Amino acid sequence: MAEYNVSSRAYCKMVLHAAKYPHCAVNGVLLAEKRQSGEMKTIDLIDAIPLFHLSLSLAPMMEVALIQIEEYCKKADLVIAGYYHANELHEESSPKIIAKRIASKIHENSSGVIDACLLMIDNSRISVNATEEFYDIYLYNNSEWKLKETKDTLMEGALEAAASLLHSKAQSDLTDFDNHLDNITLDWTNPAINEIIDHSA
Amino acid sequence: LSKDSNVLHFYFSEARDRLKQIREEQSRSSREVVDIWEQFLSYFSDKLGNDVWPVYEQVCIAACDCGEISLAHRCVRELNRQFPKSFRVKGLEGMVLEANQRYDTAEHLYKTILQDDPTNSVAEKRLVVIYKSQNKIKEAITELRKYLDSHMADTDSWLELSDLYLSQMDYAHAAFCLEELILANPHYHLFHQRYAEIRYTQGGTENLLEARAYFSQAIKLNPNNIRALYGLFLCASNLATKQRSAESKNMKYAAWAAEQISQLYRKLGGRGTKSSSDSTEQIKALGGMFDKLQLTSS
Repeated sequence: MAEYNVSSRAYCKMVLHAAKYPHCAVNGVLLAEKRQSGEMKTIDLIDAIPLFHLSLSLAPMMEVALIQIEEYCKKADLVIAGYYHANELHEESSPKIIAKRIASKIHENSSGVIDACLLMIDNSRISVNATEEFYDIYLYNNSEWKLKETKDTLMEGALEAAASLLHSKAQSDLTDFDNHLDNITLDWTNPAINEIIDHSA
Repeated sequence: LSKDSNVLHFYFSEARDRLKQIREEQSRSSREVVDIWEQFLSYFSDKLGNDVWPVYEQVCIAACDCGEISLAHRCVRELNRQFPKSFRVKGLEGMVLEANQRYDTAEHLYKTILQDDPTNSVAEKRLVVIYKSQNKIKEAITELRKYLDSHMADTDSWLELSDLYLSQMDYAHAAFCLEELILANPHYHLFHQRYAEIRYTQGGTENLLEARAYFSQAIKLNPNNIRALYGLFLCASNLATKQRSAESKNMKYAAWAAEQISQLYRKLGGRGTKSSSDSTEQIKALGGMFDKLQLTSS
């Protein structure tokens, strides 16, 4: 079983996505470097691609997004290594059937390459003053998603970077795949936000 | 001094107009509304004249959305003073209770309103939301269906019901809601597209054929609907493998959709970049996607 680390960039983009749509469920995928695929002990989740805040349970745009992200990954030597999901209700922090189903599909697509994880966002732990990570990691075992120990998975500097971005209301500049489909000039790789996060390191 | 008052007047009208724009567009920019009010407009509320009352209502709802309960209370107090015994203000009181998670008290308040005014839509819909907030989705669905029986033209409510069904992965009932919306609004491309997405998700040849038809209709109504174009591409590609008899027809549809999509990306500059080389990257990525999904004719 691999250990997962969450980078500042992945962490910040997840929290910005959740903060941009506090009244919606949101989801996205997490990327790792290709060289970490195979039988690796540690997987670093180095980036997050925010996907949807509308109709997370519909298939067509999810398929389009995953195919485009796979193409992007091929060119950048990355692989899809995880799926994140935040439920609509504040109190619901465990994965419901939709999250499990999508995560299972992604896990199946990645089988043989990398052990894709499910990262559930706990809405109640999102705060500008957070002192611990806001997610729980689940691993796929015996056809079930099981909760894994999440302590010390967050990389150095992530909490501070996230707090700073939330303060400056950077979430309004985040582009998810739904935003891209509404306006295709918007870039779902979010290069501008990536730069801000990298510079705050 | 006069220069300062000119500047203030400029900011005041900007603030007032922005709040009005948000009211008219019905966009959920709650944080912005609260900030505009608290940081600026509240100091000049007397300049708003009678506009202050819809603003108080707007700020109250936005405050509830942001968890600013004391601000919401202040708004309700002002409105109660001006409009005592108003059902509309009572409805806002209910929303403040909800924001405080006092769901039982809120439920009681809405039911009381409905006793005196059985057709009060706000109270009926808030009951739906109270159930939803407590994760009582089946109760929310039942209540919303009851409401829609007597308010069949309420588009937002049909969409909300559809979303509730989708959250339970009840695609058949979600599709039914969209059918009602399409019947009432046959020229609105988004309803055809959403209906097609639901049918596609249900899977199987019959549903794919329906989805293909409705994605096509959405494109006819709005040739720039990129979700519908992608949807048509997916349907046609999938049907090309499932229905050997119609393979070449579906390949043509898929190729057409792919070309429309590529054209749109070329025209609008691709994935957020202004340089043409990046737009080529985008087209290449799309090409990769199209190649992947297209099957060789055997």
